[in-house]
Amino acid sequence: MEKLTDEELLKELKKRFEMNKRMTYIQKELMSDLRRANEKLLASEKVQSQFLSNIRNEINNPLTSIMGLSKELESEKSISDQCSRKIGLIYSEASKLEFQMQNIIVAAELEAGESPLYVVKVDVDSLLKSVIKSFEYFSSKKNIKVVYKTTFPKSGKKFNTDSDKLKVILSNLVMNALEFSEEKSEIIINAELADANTLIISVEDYGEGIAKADINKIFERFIQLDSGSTKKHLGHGIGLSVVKSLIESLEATIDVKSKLKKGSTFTVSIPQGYIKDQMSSFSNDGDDFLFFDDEDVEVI
Amino acid sequence: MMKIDKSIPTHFLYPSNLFADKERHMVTTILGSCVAICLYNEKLKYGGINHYMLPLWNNNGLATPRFGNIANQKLLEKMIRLGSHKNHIVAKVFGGANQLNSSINIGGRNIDIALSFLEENKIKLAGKSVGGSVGRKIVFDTNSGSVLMKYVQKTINSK
Repeated sequence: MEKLTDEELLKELKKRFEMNKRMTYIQKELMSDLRRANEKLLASEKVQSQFLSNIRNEINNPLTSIMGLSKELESEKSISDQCSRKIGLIYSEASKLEFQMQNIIVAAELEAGESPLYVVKVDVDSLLKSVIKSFEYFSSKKNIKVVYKTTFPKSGKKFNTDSDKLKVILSNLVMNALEFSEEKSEIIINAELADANTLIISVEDYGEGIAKADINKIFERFIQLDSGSTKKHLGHGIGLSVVKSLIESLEATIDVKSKLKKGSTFTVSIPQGYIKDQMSSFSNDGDDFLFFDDEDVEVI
Repeated sequence: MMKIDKSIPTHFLYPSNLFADKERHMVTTILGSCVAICLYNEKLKYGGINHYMLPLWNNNGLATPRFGNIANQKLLEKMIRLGSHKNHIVAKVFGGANQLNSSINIGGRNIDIALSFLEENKIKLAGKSVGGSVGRKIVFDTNSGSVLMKYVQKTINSK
């Protein structure tokens, strides 16, 4: 090792001391930057969560008015054909927007852990019919025939599940089928009870289909297989990830069969849910509990 | 034996959901291999609880509190948003039983995620009742941080 004179040593020490001081200063600066950023982040989180709870009505109300009024105007006799077409366009764009908004809100609720189950007796047949009806406009515009087959008894079989969640799942599957189908093709929706406790609904299209390698990707968040400049389809890749999470919360399963250029079939299989009263009072040994409070106390 | 005071607002916590509120609530949830962390702020006297089913989110589907790594982070964030400082939070952990027919030990992995999360965030563990082979029903008093618990054999829909 090189020997230093006292003077050199002093100089070196001084240099290192200066450097240290500078580093401490930089560190302090960075710390305060970090603290500021953190405060900002917390504030934005707070704003975000309030924003999401407010946004639903703020957006849905005007949208409902736009859709309702344009629908009414479209069928008005006193307006010209051209005008009616334009009004029809307003309606279809507004309802697409409503559909996307619904997905965003459902996704936000699911991600915030504020999406409890409301299991009720659902008339699946009517629910499916209303979903199909809500897409009538798109199907007729693309000239797609929507075939609905069911083996439900005519009396309207009731099935215990969360009706809102089921509706969102089915809307997304039907919307996707319509979006990826060629004009003048067909979509087949089939609903049946596999057994008393399992509801199976499938949505089949003869559209573009999905390559085998991509099937696992479709449920990922913000993934759209044709993204970038070649993107020709609606949406932002949130629909199927919402479907997947909703399927999970219903304890259901989803199966995808697809062939490129031939079409896809999405099949959901939903188990009968428990109505809340059954769920919370499942143990009939009363409300007697043992007090659990102290560290490592196992109360049996 | 403790009886539950029925005059206090109640909340039934479903799997994949979380709950935190400054108002007093009795939060009930049923756990099999799922895990729930109860966080409680000793100074401000309020708490929050999650209920997750699987340890880790794998980027499939949404980043929901169905997964431990998401649920724990979100619960802590929610507590902080309601005004908590990390240092004033204590935790209790429940669940993670291993059902007999499960070979992949989801319960155990759920417990590991909970305990390592608390350790990483330097949150004091005030109590735990985890593992075993029986489910649990717990009632969390968000005002006192106390938890009533009983083991349950017959479980409907509890994961």
